[in-house]
Amino acid sequence: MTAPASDATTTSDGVRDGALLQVRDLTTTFPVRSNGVFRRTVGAVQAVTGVSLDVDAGETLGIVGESGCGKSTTGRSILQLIRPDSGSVVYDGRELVGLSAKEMRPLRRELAMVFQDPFGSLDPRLPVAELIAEPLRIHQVYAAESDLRARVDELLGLVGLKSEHRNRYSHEFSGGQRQRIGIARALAANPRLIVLDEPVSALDVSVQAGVVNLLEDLQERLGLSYLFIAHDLSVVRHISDRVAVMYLGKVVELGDAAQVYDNPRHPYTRALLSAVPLPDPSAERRRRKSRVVLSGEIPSPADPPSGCRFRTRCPKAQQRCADEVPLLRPSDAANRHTFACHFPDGDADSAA
Amino acid sequence: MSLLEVEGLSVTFPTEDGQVHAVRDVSFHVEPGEVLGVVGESGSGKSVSLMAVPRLLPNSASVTGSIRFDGTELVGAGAETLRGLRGSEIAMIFQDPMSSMNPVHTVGRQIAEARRAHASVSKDEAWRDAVAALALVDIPQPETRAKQYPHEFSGGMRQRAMIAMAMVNRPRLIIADEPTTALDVTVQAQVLEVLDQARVESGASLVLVSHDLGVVAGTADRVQVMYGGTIVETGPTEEVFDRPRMPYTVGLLSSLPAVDQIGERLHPIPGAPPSLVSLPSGCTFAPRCPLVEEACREAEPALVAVGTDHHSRCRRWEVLAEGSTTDLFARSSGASGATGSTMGVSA
Repeated sequence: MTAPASDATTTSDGVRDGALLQVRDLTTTFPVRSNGVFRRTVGAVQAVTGVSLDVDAGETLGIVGESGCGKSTTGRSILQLIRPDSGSVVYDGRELVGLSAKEMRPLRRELAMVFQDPFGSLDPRLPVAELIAEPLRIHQVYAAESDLRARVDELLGLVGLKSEHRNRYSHEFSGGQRQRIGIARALAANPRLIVLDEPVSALDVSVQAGVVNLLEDLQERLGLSYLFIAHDLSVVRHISDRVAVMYLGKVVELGDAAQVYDNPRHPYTRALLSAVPLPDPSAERRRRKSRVVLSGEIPSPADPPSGCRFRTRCPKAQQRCADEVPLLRPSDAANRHTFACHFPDGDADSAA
Repeated sequence: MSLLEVEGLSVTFPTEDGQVHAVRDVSFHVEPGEVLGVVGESGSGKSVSLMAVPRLLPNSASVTGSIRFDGTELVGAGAETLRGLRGSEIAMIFQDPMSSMNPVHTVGRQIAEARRAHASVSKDEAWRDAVAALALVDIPQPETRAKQYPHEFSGGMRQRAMIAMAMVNRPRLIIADEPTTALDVTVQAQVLEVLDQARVESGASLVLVSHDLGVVAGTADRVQVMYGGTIVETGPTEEVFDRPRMPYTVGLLSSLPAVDQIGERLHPIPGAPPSLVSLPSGCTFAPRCPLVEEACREAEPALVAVGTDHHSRCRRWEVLAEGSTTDLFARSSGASGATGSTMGVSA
């Protein structure tokens, strides 16, 4: 089911009409309050501004970007864990924005989340079996306790843990095993879409590889869709079918993983890729000479630059970038690789 | 003569569960102007072995062996000797710049203070040195920035200010412990460049401790890989990365997603790192090693020469030298089942 794009029509904003999850123009802001007694709202942080993307059944969309780019807020806004200000999130034909908590509840069975910190996201007072059973109890999936028990054992097996582990507590497990428990919990109610927010960032590399393999196995076996949020570009490339690059609340480039990584059009994507150190000394020595080292740091999302938000750090910035917000535009005829830049890399007119 | 010569260093900590053998019989050296990379995963002893050099360890730590800095023995040296070296001859850069700076003093004042702690210079001179140090690490408008407080600096700038503080006394050895781990990649690239520039300009030696193999690959002249509190492989960076002769190093490298192997499965190292309280007998990597033999579990192997200046703590390194090392862990993870159940709880 990994090539469903052909039958779905891609609309002008790059979102496929038939996709399982369709996000259009999603905007989430956080109020900035004064320090006084009344804590008046004095401004707004634009965490996510006009994000459009889609994820189809059985597909993985990776979201990459640096801290403060809004990738986590995008994930949470899609699941309505943070209420977006505007925009549309259509999951399986249903609009999620504006639903009450009660209306959302049955949908939460199908939409799960895995968090970064396997230490902070598991209640230390519950044994593993209860941690995994909790979502099943909340959704009242099983009437009989024996069914519930059988399902917990099944889930433990699915994530590579043993049923003997069911009565242990989370502190008895290593980081990688804890993340497996977090995944089992997310899988409990048979979701169709899982938002994974930096699921392997806290793990050592040798352990990280095992969790990545597990996620790929589970996707294949259960037909899951993933929204995989991470800052590690190599892991995202490895696991994703498609990749969205975010900068300061906006998607600056979106396309098939190979297109985005091998033929980046946005200068930020290019800089990001060139900054990743490779575990290959001779290649690294060569790359160091051609590395695009960006000056400055990410501006405050409370006061983003006018026009293109990347222009303050962009080696190619010109007056037009300050005056005019670049819109996402297609790189190819199929409309599957889009970028938002007035002076993109890698085409003829940029050389002029 | 080596600038730093560490021999038979061991560090243990008493805990409720018993003695933790954080570092066991570690020997290494750092030459003048050299960059040594120290890699390993959490709990491998990489940080503790370097923190032992300026003795930045809790008082409960027991340190044995020898650490000679420019000929001076530091193990057992008096507090006065160490205080004279710390921050002047031996500078430290830590992961978290926020907690290494005093929030109620300006950045310039803190750097000037570090200068005055080791040199008899006037306040004005120390201030000028601080501003010059900030300029050295590419902080724009250093005069203005010196008068600001740490919270007015962004993460990357704070880390650069820490490098400035480390460089202000012209150290001969810089120990950087995960200096870019808390930073975003584009900022990491800036900080690594600044660190390299400052090092080249001052001629100092650098020990770079990092879990990130990429960071070490691009920076270090030599690298040492640590596992279970000891060095398991050491050699010139390209040798170790291109011709690893220790299964653990092979495993570390093959568990990273490679750009040229899209769509292929990753090859994790099965099992979990050893407990430093009760280490397995024999080779500490034996329980996770695809090449393990009975003899490996009997006695811990010594570091043996496997190439020019290249050493490995593996009895079976010749197996790695004979064939391709890339599928070593592919074979082992395939054998342990397709469900990915490669991680048993360490009992």
